[in-house]
Amino acid sequence: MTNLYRLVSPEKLELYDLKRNGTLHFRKTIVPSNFNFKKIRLLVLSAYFINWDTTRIENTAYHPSGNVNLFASKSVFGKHNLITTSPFRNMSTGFWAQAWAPKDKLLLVLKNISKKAQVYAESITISSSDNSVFWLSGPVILNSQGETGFAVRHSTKVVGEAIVTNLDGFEFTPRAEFNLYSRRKPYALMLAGLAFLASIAFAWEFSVKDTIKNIRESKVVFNNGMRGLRLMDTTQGFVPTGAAEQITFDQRTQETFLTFLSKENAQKFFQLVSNSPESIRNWDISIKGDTVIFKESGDQ
Amino acid sequence: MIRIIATSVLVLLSATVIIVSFELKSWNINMASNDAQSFIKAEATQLDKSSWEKYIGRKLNLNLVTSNIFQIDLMNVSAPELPSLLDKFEGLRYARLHKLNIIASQPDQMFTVSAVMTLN
Repeated sequence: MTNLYRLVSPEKLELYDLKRNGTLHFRKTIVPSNFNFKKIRLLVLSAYFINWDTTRIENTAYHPSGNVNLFASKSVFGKHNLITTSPFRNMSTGFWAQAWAPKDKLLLVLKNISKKAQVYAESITISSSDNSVFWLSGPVILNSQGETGFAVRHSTKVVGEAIVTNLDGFEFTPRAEFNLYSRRKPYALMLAGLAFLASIAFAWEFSVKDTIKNIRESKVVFNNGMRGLRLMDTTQGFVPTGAAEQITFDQRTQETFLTFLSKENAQKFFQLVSNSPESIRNWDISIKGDTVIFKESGDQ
Repeated sequence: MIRIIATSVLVLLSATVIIVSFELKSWNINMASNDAQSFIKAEATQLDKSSWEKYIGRKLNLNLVTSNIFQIDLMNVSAPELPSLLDKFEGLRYARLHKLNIIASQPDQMFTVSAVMTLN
């Protein structure tokens, strides 16, 4: 069950239990001046506060926007001083209904109401199972009209039957909520959101992508130190001036090739370095033609 | 009120993100400029002759052996130049040195240095 409040007049507020099937059960009457309107989540306004009208529009494809005033020509209030419900179409009868109220009158009464509260017009949302039942809505007598599917006004002279004063046993159908607060679209917020997304995209393309790539795919660092070069520093004293022609450092096989201009020079150098084991003991030395080959023994 | 705060926060965040991205870019550029071999890390410049000439410090020939193997030839290298060039090749970090050949030319006392290297 839900608490449904009915504001009958500035001096009278009624509280109902709204059952799941939409039936209202009257609980009590409250003095509005002593009541905190912030508690209200569901409020029905009597005909004291609002006016309404119905019309039949044959064109079934007609779908007015929520803020259009179907009956602007019938209202004595200017658009700026009017609060309306969105137009509502009763699908079974094909009639459209819309309620409106003067802004200054309504907001004065509802100044403390929560923005979450849903406010409806009684004439559009309340119906009785028996169309012959009349009820008092503020100063106006209403009853449900089968033709339109909404409530219609009556004068006391016409109504000969009993008039009920509250909505106990009536049915509530949430139709066409009042637009109490103009809900402007948050353009600035949307723009700021877009700017934020754009800044993220910009940052990604401009620098973040490269930074992450550099961090994740850090390059393999090679050690290209040439041991053969140190060897040549040691053995260059044994090489006669102008005798060597070429030095090749093969890093894959860890070999160093020293090619001489003649086989004799190569042979002489080979004998010299072979007899100085202290400085080059970690190298296997061999000779092939005019080339002396140093190969790391692997003991290092 | 919440909308105003949210909008302000988003605008501030956007400005922060942009400033940070500029700082990050500047940091990346600084890192790259401090590393003389950074050109080898980028695919666009790793086989660029002028970048290699800038690193080695003299004119050279760069020949692509395969898509991954390349050879650099330095002609007419004088004896005093040789140690610094060898240091440059030994100091390579993002390319692997496979073979270094130093050929002496006796008549003019000059050297030809050729190096075979691979990337990755």
